[in-house]
Formats: sequence, structure tokens, C-alpha cells
Amino acid sequence: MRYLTIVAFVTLAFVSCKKEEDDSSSAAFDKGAMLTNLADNTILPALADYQEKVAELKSAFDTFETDASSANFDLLREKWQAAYLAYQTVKMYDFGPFRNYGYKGATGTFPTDTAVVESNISSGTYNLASAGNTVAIGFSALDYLLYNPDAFTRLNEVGYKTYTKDVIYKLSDETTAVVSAWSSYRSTFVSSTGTETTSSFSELVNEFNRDYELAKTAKLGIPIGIQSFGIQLPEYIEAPYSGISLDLLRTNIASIHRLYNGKSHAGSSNGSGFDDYLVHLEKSALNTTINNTFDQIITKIDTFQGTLEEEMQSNPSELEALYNLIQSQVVNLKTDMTSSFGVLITYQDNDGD
Amino acid sequence: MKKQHILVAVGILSMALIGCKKEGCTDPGALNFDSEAKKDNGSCAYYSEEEYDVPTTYSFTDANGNSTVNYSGQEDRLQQLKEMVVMMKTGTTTALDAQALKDMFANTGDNGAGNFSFSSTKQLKDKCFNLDQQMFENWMDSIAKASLSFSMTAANGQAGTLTSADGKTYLFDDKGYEHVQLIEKGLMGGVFMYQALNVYFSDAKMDVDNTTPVDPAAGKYYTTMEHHFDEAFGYFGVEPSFPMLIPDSFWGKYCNSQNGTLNSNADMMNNFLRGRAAISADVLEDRDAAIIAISKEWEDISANQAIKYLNDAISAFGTDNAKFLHVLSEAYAFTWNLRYAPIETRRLSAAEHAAIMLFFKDNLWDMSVSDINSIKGALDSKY
Repeated sequence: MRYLTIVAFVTLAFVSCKKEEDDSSSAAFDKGAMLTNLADNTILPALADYQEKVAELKSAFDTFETDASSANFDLLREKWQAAYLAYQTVKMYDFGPFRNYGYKGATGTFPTDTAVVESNISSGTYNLASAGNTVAIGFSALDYLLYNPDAFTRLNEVGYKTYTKDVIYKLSDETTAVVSAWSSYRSTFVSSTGTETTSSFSELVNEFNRDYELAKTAKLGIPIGIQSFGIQLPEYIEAPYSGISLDLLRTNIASIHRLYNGKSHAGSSNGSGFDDYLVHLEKSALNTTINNTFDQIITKIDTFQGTLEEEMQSNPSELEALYNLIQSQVVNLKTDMTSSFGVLITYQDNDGD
Repeated sequence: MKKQHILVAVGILSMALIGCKKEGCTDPGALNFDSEAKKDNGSCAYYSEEEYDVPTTYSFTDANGNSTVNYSGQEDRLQQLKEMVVMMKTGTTTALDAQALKDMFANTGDNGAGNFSFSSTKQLKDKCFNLDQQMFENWMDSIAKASLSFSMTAANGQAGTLTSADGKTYLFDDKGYEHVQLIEKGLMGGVFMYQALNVYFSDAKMDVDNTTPVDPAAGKYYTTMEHHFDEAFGYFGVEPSFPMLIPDSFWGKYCNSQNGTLNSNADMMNNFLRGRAAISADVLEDRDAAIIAISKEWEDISANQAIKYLNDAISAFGTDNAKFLHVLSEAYAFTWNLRYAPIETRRLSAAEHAAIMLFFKDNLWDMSVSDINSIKGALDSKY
């Protein structure tokens, strides 16, 4: 009994000693260096790559406009896919320049409302920047415009072709504006290391979590029926015409994982990221859990051979297992990691009315 | 597409132009110091050197210890608006009766034609800025009309309801406006803010007797001037211990929500306390300084709340239409309320205010991010 008490005291003393060490070491973590690494090796290269892919999409359209051959049509679709996948590597940066341009809503809103698209095409007059048209523009509208069964034929109609062109050009113009705004925003970003809600660090952590939850809910949960008593809602599938929704999900989650570790966009070098910060805060176990779960998610996604629509018919229980796996990571990221960083989640605004 | 680029350019240009001449009080020691102001415009207000007791909660007594504070008429009106809001929010699941809302607005039969849970001789309508009474009644017609479509999904050109990503359901008219927000937040301006700042703080209500208790036999131990100041406080709508207790609606709620930016909780409350204490001590220059400080802060709260909602709208653009239209309707009302800032302290002329309101399109579904940025830019340059 006495022995036990002594052990307890010794442990207490040891723990409290260690705690002080923690505090001094956590204060020393260089968040500025982390943000600099993320900006220079992850975010800016991803944006540059994305911008290039959007430019290629635009020029593929120009080529097709000159010569509407089926080879050029295939090229146009291929470039659209590449750009859409590249978008998954940048969409989590919805703050700063993205926010100022309302870029995310104008680019990635799905499902597209084909009735609005068709009514715009037939009327020929539309303001693609309006709130009512966010369901008729961006990658999702192009999924319909380029992949519906009559797409190749209809791209010869003037109104249809002009609309497709306007959507692609708008995407290209805004991408150029947002990416160039990032070059001046970079210095703001890397220096704003605080945890107040308006700091870059706080915004990045918030959008990181928000994008992860969006991948979980919008790309998978809603279509497979998680929010509707298991009743599947195929009309909410992302990119249903091209059938690339699982590829988009995979790239999205892999990019979030890359950001987490502070890995470079193209190569494999691993700089300072959220993982290092957690390790610095002596949360190595949490870090290991997060990395393992990300790996398991990607492995799981890779087991699906068909499109999401096909898998929803043939393999719904495995999709639900995938959803549960993705869901299990939310607590690690949104609760444990975020509170360790001292960041407040602000994207769920509890205004109350 | 070309047109859109020009609009963006015009927006940025006008932001830059307006941005040059931000005027205000530049003395950090003044009551109404404006950290955004670049040029002093002689508006700085200060308290005197006079010494008198200022309590820490809004409770004041006469020499015999009788409370001199009463604003029960204001409390009735706040409660009336609360009950109107409750009724209007049922419009997401049931058809509303415009006449019932109008009866509540005018407090027909002292109980809103049976729609209020209590009786009172007070009403909102006759205290509403008279040029705007019709607008509010028109909005009541609009919400009733929209509510006929409560079972529809709202869309561009279609009234109905939409549910936001965080699970809240709102009723919108065919142009995307959520009238419950326009009416609730608009009446916060058209009655509460208007009455406090323009009626009770006016010369007509402040250049009055400050020596004789109104009617001690009836429990009215206050002077007329004290009472008028208390009625203005009543329209601010907070507990005497604010900000210890934060109300869940109206100006106290939004004062608190802008506290991080404006330090508005302490600014509003301390100036109300100081102004009221100054009246009891008959130091009228301090009363006037407090009135200026309160008036400016109140306007700042409305403007900053509008900017907050405009930012929320941009972040919901294209991703959450329910939230987008909801916060844009709120932004509309808080921007509209700048109309009720008193002429002596207001940052926007009537013409400037009208110009900003024009940025809100007749149909919210037609709004673009650059439209919203134009409103933000115009507000940012003044607040």
C-alpha cells in the first residue's frame, strides 16, 4: 500500500515535470516555417499545376472549336478530367483569394441543375456570375455538357457550344485571377500564425476540416443514403455523366492527407506540416492514428472497380464501410487535432436564427 | 462575360476611390475614437471633469432609495416583436395570415387581435418611422404570399423553403428574400434604433424637465428627462447587468456578436450608464457626449453586422443556397438600418445609403460575388 502511494507520487512529480517541458517546447514550434513550407511546397505548386490544367482545358476547347473531330472531343474530355482532378488538390484552400472571388461556389458546386443549364442555353442570355447560376457552371456543368449522351452532336449547335465555351472561359478567367492573387497573398498567409479566428493558420485548419467533411458528406454520404435512412440518392452523385466521382474522392482525400503531412505537391519531400506540429505537442500516437486512417481510406477506395453509381447498386455495404472509415477520422482531425492546435472551428456558425 | 469584367473593375475602382477619404475622430482618448479614420473631422467627444457616481449596472435611485428606472413600454414592444417572429417562422410549415401580422404590428384590440399572449396599450406601428410603416406591411403581405408555397422547394422564380447545410429551414419568396429577417431586423431599426436615437435622444425629448419627479404617488420617481433616457435604453433591449447577461435577440445580441471587433458591449453599456448618471447629476454636457458615443456605436454595430453577413454570404455562395439567401436577407436589413442613424453622427448621407441599397438586387438569385463585394467595399470605406 505504502509502496503504491510512493509510486503514485513519483509518477505525479514526473508527469508534472514533463508537462512544463511540454509547454516550453510547444511554444517553440515554428508555425511560420510550417506555413512557409505549406505555401511554397504544397499550395503554390498545386495551384500552378491546377492553373496549367485549366489552361489546357481551355485550349483543348479552342482546338475543338476549330476542328470538331472526335479525336479533339476526346482530348477535350481528357483535359476536363485532368483539370477537375487537379481542382481536388486546391479546393481546400477556400480562404483569402478563393473567398474573395467566391471561387469555390463558382467552380465546384454539384449536382448541376440541368434544367437551368438547358434554359440558359435556349434563352441565350445569362449572367453566369449570379447566385442562381452557380448550379449551372463549373466542373459539374461541364460533366453534363461534355458527357451527356448527345454531347458530341450538340456541341455543334451554336447555343450549346457557346454556353460550354462561356463556362470554360469563366473558369479559366477566375482561375487566373485567383492564382495570381495568391502570389501577393502568400506573404500574408505565411506571417499569420496566430490562433484567432481570422488568422491564416486558423482559416487553414478550418478549411482543412471543412473540406474533409465535405468529401465525406457530399461526395459519398448523401448519394449512398447516409442522411436519408439508407435510401440512395443517385441524383446527388458528383460527376454522374463521366462517372469519375470515386477518382475525385480519392484525389481529394489524398490531397488533404498530403497537406496534413506538409508533403510537396509533385515530389515526395516531406516538410513541416500538421503532423510535425502534433508530434511537437507530444501527440505522436494521434499522428500515427491519423496517418494510418488516411492510408486505410485510400486503400479502401482503391478496392472499388466500378463507378460510384455502379458500386451503389452492386456493393452498397462496402461503400457504407468506406463512409464509416472516413467518418471515424473526423474526431481525430476536427476534435483532437484542432483542439491541440488551440484553433476554434468556426465554419459551423451557430448564429441561432 | 465582358460586361462582368467591367463591373468588377468598376467595383474595385469605386472601392479605391471611396477608400481615400475616411473621416472621423482620430483621438484615441475620445469617446468616439475611430481606429479606421485617417482624417479628423472635429467630431471627437469627451466627458467633462465633473465627478459623480456612475453605477456598474443600470439601476438608479432617488435620495430615498426609490428606483427611478422604468421602461416597461419598451419591454412590451420587444416582446411583441418576439411573438411576431415566432409566428412568422411557422411560415416554413404553414400558410401565414398577413392580417394577423398587421394586427400584431398595430396591436389591434390591445392584444394584436388575440395573437399576442399578453395585453398592452403599446404598439410597434405608431412608433415605427412613419415613412416606412407601409414598407413593413407590404413585407407582411409578401411573407404571407411566400408561405402559401411552404411545401415547395425555393428556387429562382419559385417561393418555398430551403434547408441549410447545418439543418435550418427558411422560407424565401420567389426572389430569394427571407421576409422574416427583413421584418424582424428591419423593425429593430425602424422602431428600436429609430426611437432610441432619433426620438428619445432628440432635443425635443432631452430639453425637458430634470428637477421634478413625474408622479411619486404613482411610483414615478423619475424626472421626465431621466425617463426619456431610460426609454432609449429600453430599446437597446438588454438586462441592467449587461454584458453579464446577453439577450438572445435584438440589439443586445448583435452588440455582443460585434464585441470582438468593436468592444461594443463595454462601449454601449458604459456610455448608457454614464449618460444616465450624468442626467441625475445634472451634468448635461456629459449626457450629450454619451448620446453621441451611443449613436455612433449603434450605427457601427449595424454596419459591422451587415459586413459579417456579407462575408458569410460569400462563403455560402454556390455551396449552400439556404444559408446564402438567409444571411443576405439579414445583411439587407442591417444595411437598411443605417438609415436610422441620426443625422448628427451618421456616416452615410441619405443619398449614399440609397446608393448602397441599390447594390442589393431585386432578385437575390441574381446576386454575384462581385455585387456583394461592392456592398462590402462601400461599407468598409465608411466603417
